[in-house]
Amino acid sequence: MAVIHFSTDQRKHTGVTHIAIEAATVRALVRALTQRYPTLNAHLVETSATAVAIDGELIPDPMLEELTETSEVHLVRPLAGG
Amino acid sequence: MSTTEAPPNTGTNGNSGYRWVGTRPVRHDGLDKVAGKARYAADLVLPGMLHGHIVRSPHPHARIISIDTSAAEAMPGVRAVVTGADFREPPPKGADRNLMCTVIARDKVLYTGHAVAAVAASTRREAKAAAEAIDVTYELLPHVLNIANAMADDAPVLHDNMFTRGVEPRPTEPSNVAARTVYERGDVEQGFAEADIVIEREFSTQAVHQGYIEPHACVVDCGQDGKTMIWCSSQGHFKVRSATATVLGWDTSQIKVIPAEIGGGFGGKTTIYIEPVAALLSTKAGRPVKIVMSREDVFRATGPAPGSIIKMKVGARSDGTITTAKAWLAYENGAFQGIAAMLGCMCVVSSYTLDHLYVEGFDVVMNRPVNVAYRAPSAPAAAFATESVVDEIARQLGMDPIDLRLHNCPSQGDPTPYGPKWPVIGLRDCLEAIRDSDHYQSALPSGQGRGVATGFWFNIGEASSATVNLNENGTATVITGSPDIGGSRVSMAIMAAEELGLDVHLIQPVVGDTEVVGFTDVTEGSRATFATGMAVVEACRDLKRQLCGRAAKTWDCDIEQVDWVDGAAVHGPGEHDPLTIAAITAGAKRTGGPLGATASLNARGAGPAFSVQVADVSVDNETGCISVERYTTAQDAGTAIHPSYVEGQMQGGVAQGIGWALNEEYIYTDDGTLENPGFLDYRIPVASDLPMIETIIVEVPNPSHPYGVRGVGEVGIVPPLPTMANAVADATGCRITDLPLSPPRVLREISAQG
Repeated sequence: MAVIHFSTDQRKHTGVTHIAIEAATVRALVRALTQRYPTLNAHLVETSATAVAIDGELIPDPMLEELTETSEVHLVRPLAGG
Repeated sequence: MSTTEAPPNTGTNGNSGYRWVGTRPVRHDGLDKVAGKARYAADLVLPGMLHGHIVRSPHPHARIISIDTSAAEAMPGVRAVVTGADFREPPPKGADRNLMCTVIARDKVLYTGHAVAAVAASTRREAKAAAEAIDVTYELLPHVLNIANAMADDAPVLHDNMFTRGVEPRPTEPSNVAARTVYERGDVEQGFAEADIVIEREFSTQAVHQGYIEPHACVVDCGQDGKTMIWCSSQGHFKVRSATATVLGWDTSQIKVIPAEIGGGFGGKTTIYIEPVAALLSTKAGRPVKIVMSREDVFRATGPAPGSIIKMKVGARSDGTITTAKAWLAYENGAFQGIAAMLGCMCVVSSYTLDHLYVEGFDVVMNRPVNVAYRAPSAPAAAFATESVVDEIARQLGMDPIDLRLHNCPSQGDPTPYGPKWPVIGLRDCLEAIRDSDHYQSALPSGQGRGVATGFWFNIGEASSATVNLNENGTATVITGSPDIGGSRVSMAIMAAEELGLDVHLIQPVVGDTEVVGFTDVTEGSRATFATGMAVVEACRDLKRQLCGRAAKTWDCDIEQVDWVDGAAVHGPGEHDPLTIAAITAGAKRTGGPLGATASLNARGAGPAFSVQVADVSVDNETGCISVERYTTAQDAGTAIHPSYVEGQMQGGVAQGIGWALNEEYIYTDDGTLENPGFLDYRIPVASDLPMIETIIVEVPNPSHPYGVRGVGEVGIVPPLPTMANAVADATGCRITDLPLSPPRVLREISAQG
């Protein structure tokens, strides 16, 4: 199962630092997280944490990304730059 | 058609097996630029064109009571006047509101220089005179200009619907603290308990401007058919299109943006200020309208990089192992909320492996122009704090500062401070490159001080498109949607040459407008050569498949029997002579028509960038003036496609970072007036201020890019702030924690030391 790691702010909504979830895609993962932690999704939207890092790779538009049994996922904000 | 031999491979990639990657052909736009023929937005003149002038607030914080434009409208040559009331109503909050209210103020002005109205007239003089005749009545409001005052409990609040995010329970009173960000790992108190030495300091940096030479400029022509043409200088013309459409509520497809050459951006041209104003003036007047910002307006109304206050506490064992770091960061956001502190939090300890860390950041709004990105936004100030403290730890432990950093250096698989694990990174390679450099191995001349520091930046991917067309004579045109800020066009040509096996001089790279090339994100985040280069490579690989297919048709064989080798289709069984691109394109009509390919992608796998730098300085004890005697920068480029432009980016970043460290700062009077909105009083380094910046290109290829590219445009600006401060500390014994290291400040510190 993919392992999702939560930031300090996100832990206020999950109560845990990480969790293993069966999900084939990021979209399925977000659905599962929203069901389990009802207030998390609003927090992610408010903080614009609409990107993910999968196994260290930052992906700004991730909903259709596939996850594997060993994926490590962080929910992060998309980055820009100069 | 003529061909030339590939020049000697003079990059660091000489043994890579590439023919063109790593070479240094003359950039395609070079001659026009040195000859003064390059066309910038301000150069454009259209028939019947009017000139726009923007009225700006003289107050840092005020309610707009009324705007009387009647006198201006009656003045000679005036064809149109607009105010905020002519623009559509912004939403109550969010990024769109921030953009719309930056372009033109609505109910309140939030900084001196905030746009409140605009005039279009036949001449610039008439437009300026009419703008001065616009009567704006303000109700003055108390203002705040710095972090401490803006965070105070009794501070005047800029936005009555801003409630600090990231604080539990959620505040019920509005404040200027837009957001709080926290990253933590382990137990910092345990980390400090494990330390033999703990150093805690407070640092401050000042807001600085990107300092691009070319002020913002645009020409906008709104036709009666509803179509709008925009010629402008920007880092992303698709962004100009979408942002203009957002501000005006217009249909994106009705707006065409034609990119002009750009005279510098460095992040400052990733947003818009004047295009929607010119568009509305053009619509009202029925004529094209040009707006060119003055240098003063550029300083007063366009994006500075933020100032900051950072409290940094680091613990280390006597063997140099850093046991923990605790940081408190507050960043200026300007008039509207940004993410400066969040980025600072992510960067602040990125050069170190830490089991225990606690990083807390605050984004703070105030009555200054809204922040805009500047090369590796927020990272320089963060590095200034961390790298200064680490330097002090090395001195107190008697360790070589590079050895200490190597001892704590993260590698692939280690956790980043913000969570995910590091991919392949080149920090260690950069540290070793500086350690082994002639500069670092040379004895420090008497009376000078030497400083070193590291810097990190993420780099990003995002969306890019490219079209590669083969011409009938075998030459190629590469069209991309990335404005060329640092030599990206020639890099695109090199990658196309490498893929196709075609002489790079036979490839013409072009930056296409919003109607001739697919959507492409802004040239930012050091992404153009990485992401747009990927699109070019993908298009070229498609083209090679087509070329092999044409050869198969010509030879009446199966395509599987055809390989692409050294720029020609080769018949596997060897029954035919190879067909070059020129041979295939010459007969293209017989084999299926012209050849071209397009690729659009969302680039994945941007490779993080690190830079390590060393400086030798001398300090005049009587004036406090710092002279940079020698400076060397090592940076991981992944692969240097065109080493000259990699070096140029490295040197440019260092030069700007030195300016930030030594002299640059926004100086406001108490009443909110910017006192130094010009290059006479805002002191950027010029060529005579700096030695030749020595460069060491480190190449740790990014496995996610076909040629191993990482971005190179930003990270070079990160280390100079602490590098200079550390060198000054070495030279004088004074640890200065406030920037800039201007002569008065340095003299004061030296004098205080006695």
